[in-house]
Amino acid sequence: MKKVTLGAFEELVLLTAGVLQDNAYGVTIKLELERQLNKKISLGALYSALQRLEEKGWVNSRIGGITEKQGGRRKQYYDITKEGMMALDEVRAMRNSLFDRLPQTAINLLK
Amino acid sequence: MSSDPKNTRPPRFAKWLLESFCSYDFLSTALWDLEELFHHNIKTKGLNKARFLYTIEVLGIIGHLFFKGKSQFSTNKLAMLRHNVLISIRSFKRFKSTFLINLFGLVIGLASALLIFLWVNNELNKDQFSEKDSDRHFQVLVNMAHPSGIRTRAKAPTPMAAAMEAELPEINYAIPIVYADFYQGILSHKNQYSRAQILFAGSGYFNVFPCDFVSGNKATAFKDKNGIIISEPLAINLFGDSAKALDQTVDFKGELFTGPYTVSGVFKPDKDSSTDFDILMSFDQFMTERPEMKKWYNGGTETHLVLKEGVDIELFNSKIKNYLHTKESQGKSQTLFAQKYSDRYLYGQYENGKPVAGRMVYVRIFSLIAIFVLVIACINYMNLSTAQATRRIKEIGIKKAVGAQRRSLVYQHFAESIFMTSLSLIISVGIVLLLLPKFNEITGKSLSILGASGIVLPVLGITLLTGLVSGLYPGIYLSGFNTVFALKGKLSSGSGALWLRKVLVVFQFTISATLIISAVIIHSQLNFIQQFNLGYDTEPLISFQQEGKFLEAPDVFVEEVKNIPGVVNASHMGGDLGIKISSRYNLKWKNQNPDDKGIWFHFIEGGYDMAEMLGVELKSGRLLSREFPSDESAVVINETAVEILGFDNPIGEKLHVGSAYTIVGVVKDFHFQGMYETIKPFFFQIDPEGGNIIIKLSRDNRAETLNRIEELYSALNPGYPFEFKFIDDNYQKLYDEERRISSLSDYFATVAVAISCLGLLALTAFSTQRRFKEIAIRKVLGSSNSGIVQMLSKEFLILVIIAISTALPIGYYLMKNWLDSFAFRIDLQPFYFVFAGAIMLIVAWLTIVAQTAKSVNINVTESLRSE
Repeated sequence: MKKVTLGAFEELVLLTAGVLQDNAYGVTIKLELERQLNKKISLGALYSALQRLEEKGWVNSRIGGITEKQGGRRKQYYDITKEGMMALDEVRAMRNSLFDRLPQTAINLLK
Repeated sequence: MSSDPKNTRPPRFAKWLLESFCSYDFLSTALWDLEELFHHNIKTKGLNKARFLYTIEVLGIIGHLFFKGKSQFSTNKLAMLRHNVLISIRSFKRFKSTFLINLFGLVIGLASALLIFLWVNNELNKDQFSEKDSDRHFQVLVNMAHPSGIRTRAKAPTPMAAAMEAELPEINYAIPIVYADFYQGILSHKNQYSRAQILFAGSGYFNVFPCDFVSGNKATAFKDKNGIIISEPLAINLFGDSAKALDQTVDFKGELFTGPYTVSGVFKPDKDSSTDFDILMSFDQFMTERPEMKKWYNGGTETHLVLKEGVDIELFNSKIKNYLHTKESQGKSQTLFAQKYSDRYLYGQYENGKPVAGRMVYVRIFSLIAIFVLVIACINYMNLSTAQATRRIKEIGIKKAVGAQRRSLVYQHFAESIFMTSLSLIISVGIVLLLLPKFNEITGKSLSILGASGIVLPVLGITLLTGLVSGLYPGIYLSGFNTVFALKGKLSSGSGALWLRKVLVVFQFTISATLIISAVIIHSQLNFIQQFNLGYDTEPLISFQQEGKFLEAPDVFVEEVKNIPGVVNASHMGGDLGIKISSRYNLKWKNQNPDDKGIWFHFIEGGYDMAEMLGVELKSGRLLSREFPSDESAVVINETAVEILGFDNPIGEKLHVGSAYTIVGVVKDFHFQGMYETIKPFFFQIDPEGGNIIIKLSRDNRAETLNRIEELYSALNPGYPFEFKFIDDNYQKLYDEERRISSLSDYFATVAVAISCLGLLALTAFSTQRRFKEIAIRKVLGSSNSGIVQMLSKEFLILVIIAISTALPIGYYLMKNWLDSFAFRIDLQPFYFVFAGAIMLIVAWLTIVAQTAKSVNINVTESLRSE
């Protein structure tokens, strides 16, 4: 089976969902991401990322705050799972190891 | 989430879209988030922005669902949409020529419609102002009864505005306006000078006319006795920057109102206004300078009224009809009526003292042409879709067999046609952007697609409507097939559709042929006018106003200018040939019929050489000459005048124009007005000064001659720019409108023919392809190629011939009406119709034969073997 990968945008969404802890749902994730990235994020893109993450088992969704009236809207929270944390960790470890192997001359460019 | 629910509701359309495409679970999640975001945005960005963002988010969600979403989050509708789009794209790819012809037709059709829409929109908005009292703004017009008919004028006696305001309770206030070529001159500041036209207006002017001030105070600008309000371009011209103009002193030099003024305001000229002026001054200033205007016999002032709320205009009109009869020195032949000012631009012509559609006629004609061109494009789409029914009949059969409702099949076709038109719209907007500069040049306007913000909705509406009209018939026709027959690949109801297709083709070509006929006849009439012998030679004549020093002593210049080599002669004369020639009535002569007193005689007063310079042909007697001192009270008349006077030998008879004048000569009739007018009785008369200076140039070295004239002019008349015009241009300007109509009708006729022929091309191709087997058998049996071409072409040629014969009477009727507005016009000879019909027939024939000739060369074995 093909290895399940974590895309760049998915990684950001997953991280944000983790940061927001119990309060991670559509609007909060969107606003937080927009604040961090300083650009507009569409709900459509966010949903499709969240749906992919859920399918891969990296977030769990839970229902909170159903309203009976006004056409049955409901708040869907996303919680990061253990597998999700592991995926994030793996990406980070991979990045770090690559970063560590950067030659000193390249790092000097920062100064 | 509180406050008034009605105002804080998300846009319903977006919500409906979301509900249609999202599965229930996902929908409720998305709705919560969207709504929370919506309320968040209302607080931070305002309601409108929030509603807009809501729609954008919804479209984003649907877009993601459409392209990437998993099926559990969306409804069947989205799946069907995706399926239909796929099928459409596949069929576009498979039948490329049909797709391209449809697209091309719709693109041209929409682009033409868009251009015409921009023009019509601009015309309809002229003089439609939305100032405080604009909706109650009327203008009083004067009808003067004459034996030759009623003349309607906007210029009324000057004291009338004030008198009406005081005497008629229906009037809220009146605004006198003086606007005439006469009130222009040179405005200067230090070394900068510029020609400027004045408009004098009463104090209510700003309540009805738009006039945005760049600087200065609107409320007090008219109060200053010595104030002058100038336009922004004029201010920039004089001061370099409109902000520097305020409170500066400027000098005005003209026949009247010469003196220093203080700039009390700078206004921005309104682009929707039909009146063009550079300086605005108060009516009080006008009256101070010209106190004689308080008399009732002095006219030339427009009377604008603002009526009180709820005044019935019919009643008011019947009340003011005879208003002037109570005033001193006003004839009983004058009656008044008020017309809404905003109607005057489009309904500004008058027949028998009643307003009729003037420019509105062209607005209507072009709207109609736009609709027809679009309809032709729609017909192409309909014909090609139904003709190709066989190609997609199995798809429909299978869909029906697995339980598709008829409605969903109709929707599918709507979706496809709307997709086509939307695609065409995008391309046509690009084309319009490319063509606009050229279109503006033709129409003499400065239209822009970006500036017209109000056009977005109508254009989208037109596009949607085009899509619906195109998709309606194919949708209903294709979805109505019997399932069993459809699966077998047989058409069950072929003949009805075939018949309708033929009717539609006839309709298309009738419109195209009518347009060609019109274009041919408009062209011929225009050529006729332009090559018509006016009876005199205007070409080498230039004329310009007398200003400054020339007002007192033009003779010095006139004599000096004659010494410049290249100048044939110079003189002066009143009026502008082709634009405005003075006229008067109440002339008297021997044995006059009492009714003839009301006949208007046109006349030109000027120097001795004017008739000779114009090149008017002498018929009998002699022209006015310096050698006869008595010629100061002599006239030379034209042939029409001779007829009216009724003298056998007019030479030596007296014509009383105020005092008695001796007729010394008769000239042949010549067209001193445009071709709309019959030739009127006319005379030449001597006026020692006044009017414009006219100079006749020889044909060689004109540029150099003009330079030398300008040098002389600047030397003798410093401070005035040398601005002249060729008299010939006056005539060209008279027909500007006709030239526009002519070139536009050329273009749109070509567009209509092109789209129709494209459709015909595709239809012929399609129908010959279906008869390949028949062609092959005929060839095997020994039929000649030309015989087959003839057989295949006949069916369509007959349709085109029917269309042309329908178009002939329609074209005749339309063009006869149009030509009736010209006093001098071409006869509608059969030649024009034969010519136009032949063009149409040849183009159509070439289209058909191009296609059928190709199919004759098919491989006989190949097409017989298949199956």
